[in-house]
Amino acid sequence: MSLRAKVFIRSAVLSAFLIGVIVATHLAYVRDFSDRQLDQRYTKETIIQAARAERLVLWDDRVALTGLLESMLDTDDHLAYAFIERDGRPYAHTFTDGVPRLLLGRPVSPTPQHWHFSDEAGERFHDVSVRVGDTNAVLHVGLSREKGFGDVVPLLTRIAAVGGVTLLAAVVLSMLLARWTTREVRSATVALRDTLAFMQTIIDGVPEALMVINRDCTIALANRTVREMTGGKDPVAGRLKCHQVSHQSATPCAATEHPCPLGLVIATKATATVEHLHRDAEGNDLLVEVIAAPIFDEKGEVVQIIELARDLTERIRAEEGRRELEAQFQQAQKLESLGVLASGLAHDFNNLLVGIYGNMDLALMDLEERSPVRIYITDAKTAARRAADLIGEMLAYAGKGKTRSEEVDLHELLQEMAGLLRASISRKTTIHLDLAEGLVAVRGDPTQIRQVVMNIITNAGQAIGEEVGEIVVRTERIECDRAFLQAIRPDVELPEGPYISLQIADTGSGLSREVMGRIFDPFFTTKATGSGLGLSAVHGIVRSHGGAIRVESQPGKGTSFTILFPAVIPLTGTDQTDLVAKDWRGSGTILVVDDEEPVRSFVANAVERFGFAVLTASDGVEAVEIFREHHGEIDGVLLDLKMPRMDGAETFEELREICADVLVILSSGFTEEESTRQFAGKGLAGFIQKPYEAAALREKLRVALGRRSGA
Amino acid sequence: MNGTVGDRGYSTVSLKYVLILAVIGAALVLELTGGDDDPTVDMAETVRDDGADGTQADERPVLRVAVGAMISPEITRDYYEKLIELLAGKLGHRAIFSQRRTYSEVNALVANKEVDVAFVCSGPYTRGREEFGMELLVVPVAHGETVYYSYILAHRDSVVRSFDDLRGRRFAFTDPDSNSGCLVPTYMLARRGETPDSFFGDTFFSNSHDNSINAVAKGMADGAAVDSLIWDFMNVVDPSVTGLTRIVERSPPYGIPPVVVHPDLPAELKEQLRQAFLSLHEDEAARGFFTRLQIDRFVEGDDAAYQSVREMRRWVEQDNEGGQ
Repeated sequence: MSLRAKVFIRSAVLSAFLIGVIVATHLAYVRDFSDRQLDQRYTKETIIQAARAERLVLWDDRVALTGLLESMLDTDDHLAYAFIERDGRPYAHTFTDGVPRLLLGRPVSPTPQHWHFSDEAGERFHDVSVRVGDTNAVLHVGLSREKGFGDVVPLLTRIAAVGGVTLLAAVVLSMLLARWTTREVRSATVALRDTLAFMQTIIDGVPEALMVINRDCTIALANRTVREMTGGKDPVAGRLKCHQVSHQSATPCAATEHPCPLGLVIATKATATVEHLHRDAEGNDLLVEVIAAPIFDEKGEVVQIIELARDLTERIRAEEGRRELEAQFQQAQKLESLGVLASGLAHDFNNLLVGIYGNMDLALMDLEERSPVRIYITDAKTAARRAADLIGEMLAYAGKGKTRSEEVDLHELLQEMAGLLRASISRKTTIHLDLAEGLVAVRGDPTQIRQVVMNIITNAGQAIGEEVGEIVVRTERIECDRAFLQAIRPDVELPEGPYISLQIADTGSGLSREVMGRIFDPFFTTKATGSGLGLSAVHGIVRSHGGAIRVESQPGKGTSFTILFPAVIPLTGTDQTDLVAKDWRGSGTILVVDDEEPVRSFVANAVERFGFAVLTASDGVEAVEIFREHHGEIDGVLLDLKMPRMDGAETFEELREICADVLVILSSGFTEEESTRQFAGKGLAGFIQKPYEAAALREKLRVALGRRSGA
Repeated sequence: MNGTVGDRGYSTVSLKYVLILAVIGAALVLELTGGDDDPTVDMAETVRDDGADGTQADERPVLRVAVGAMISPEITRDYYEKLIELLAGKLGHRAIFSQRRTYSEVNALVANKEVDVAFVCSGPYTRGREEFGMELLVVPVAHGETVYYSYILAHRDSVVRSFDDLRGRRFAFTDPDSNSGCLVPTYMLARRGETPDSFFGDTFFSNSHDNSINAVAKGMADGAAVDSLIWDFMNVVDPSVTGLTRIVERSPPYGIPPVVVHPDLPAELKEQLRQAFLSLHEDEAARGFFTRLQIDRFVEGDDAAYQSVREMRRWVEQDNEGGQ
């Protein structure tokens, strides 16, 4: 029904009601007034006639009395009857056939009595009775009320007519009122709707949950965020309570750890800010910050509460993520620092070891086979090798320890290791190899890769313990984009492209979040006998292979390590460590450049033994000068990488300036990959990592010079 | 806006108004349509006038007493009814008190034995005595006498100083059978060779002595002849009326209006009645009524005391016959 129709109907009905009341009241009043007038009139008339009748009664003159009564009827049309009774018996009357029995014997009083009755035909009468003087006679006069009422019928008709006309006017006015009201209300409604829509837009724009809550917890106002919390259902129309929306609970929250902000505001009548635990529709607990403020009525009582709930969960997650990232960076920095330290030590130690190791090697060459001294030198050489191994492990932990770089067939490696791996874990644990087809090799140190596999599977076996479990080793070749790689290893920008994924997953006890954050820390262990270097070494090895590692684990659901190795990229000048030519001797001149005197001395001696003439230089500057002067007679250069004044790389550039095709074998205590990175594509003839034996040096020279002469 | 802030329950208020209007409307409808809970009277179920006086419930024998219209019926009833009830009660009867407009009607009641005992004027007694032997039972003693007079009255401020001054004036008689109110002035005129029509300018009957006194006092009549007992009685009861009149002439004494019975009334009842009347003054309550009526007591009457009345009437009748 339209607003106009509603207003019209209500106005018309109300007007009709009021007019009806007024008209009816007037009709009733007039009728009552008429009755009272008639009462008064006929009371007087009856009293007068009673006085006239008294003497006739005393004279017992019934004939005259009857005449008197009849004359009353003759002179007044309103009268229906008149009679006199004495002691309840008819005495004189105007009835044709006696006085009606029920009109007789009514109570007598000194004052006039009025009695209303109807006859069987429904005609109504008004009986006025007056005692006749001091006699025992009572005069009754019967008035026809219809006839008496007839006097005021014209007046009543006029009142009814006026009422009808007024009602018609009221209907017309109601129509006009409806039209005016509709117009006003429509414009006001539009303005109000705009205002409400604007306000709703504002509160919907608030990203947090905003509600106005009544004291009984029902929601009086809600923004879009709240509606989204209820799955789009309107909480106001549904008369939902705040705890149904915020706690998924049918009863108000009563947790003492997280006090209800509603109760706080009602109790204190002040704004309250509390951290509160909410629960979403999926049953997840959400820590929210609630700001609740009171709305007062005119008496100062809190009638409603404005509540703004801010979800702190995402912020906490972001904070945790940031902390995790920081930890990763700290770990990376830690490892980097350790690497710098280790590589520095390795460089220095390797240089020293070259002198020790090489000279002992030369000494052994010169000694007789039966010399008793040989055993001492051999022991010393063994000790020196152990020192070199120690340096190697240190470099491995620091991610700089790869000493070999070759193509490794991962499947072949895993299958070779399978027996050893099964032997290292419980018999209740099975190892399942899920190897991809056509997998290409990775480049690296097979020993270190074995160490990686062994360490992780050993840990997996220990996580499963004596329970029945399974370890799945899965490989696959995947294409990695920048974002994927950045997510796994944020500290280094790994190149996009093909990677070999090695995944080792167990059904063990899993790791807590805390443990996961520290498993790659050096010396961190959850085992009583562990050194805490196993997974640190894994981490370092993977990093040194240009790869990345990711761990996924949940307590009770097992742990999964995913290791990415770059798919193999063939290197130019692959080493062929063929040591068959033990007695090879060369010719020509070799320039030995090294800032370490023991190394320089050992190398010079060894090269001379191999049949070469030797020039030596203690740094790059000196080497360049010598080379500029003798480059025509120099066949090759053994060049140390790290030197004062001018390092190996600069020296190499200078030498190439003098002679573009100069043959240079680089020597360094660092790994080949790290050392030769800046020489890529520049025609480096070879690399030999310190410390090395004389035989290795001879092999390097043989291969390099042989390749030159072959070319 | 997606909600209501400060909602105060509009629908509840609206419902309340509707209920109020409904209640008012219902009350109004009841007011307009209701109230006609009048009893219904079957007008066909009637009681005819059987002439009974409605006192049949009383088992005692009836003593019917009539009082002549010497004074107005209202005053007569006021003064005599209780006395008669007392008298009847002494006899173990219940009284039925009757009045009639004229003396002759009362005489007819006695003659027809419709009453047992009657207070009549002296004139009607003499007539009843002659017609059916009306018997004198007792007579009252008023002011120590058993006689009374006829007073000729004029207005206090009138120039009338004697009966003769009333010539050509308007004169009020009481009842045609009244001795003091009609027979005496007629006799006085007859003695003068006059008749009422010849002497007075206009005459009328007032039906009672107090009416005649009032007629003179109010100037309705220039003169009137009334019972001395009545004028004396009224002069005590309401002197403001009698004060407006002046007695211009007083007649000789006549036998006082008696209490009479029909001659056929059983002698035993007759005697009981006589004794009751004669001893009434001994009754405390009766003395109160006597005082009001200004009589002392009742005594045995003597018919001879009314002889003068008989002679006056005879004179008047002869005069009338002679005049014709």
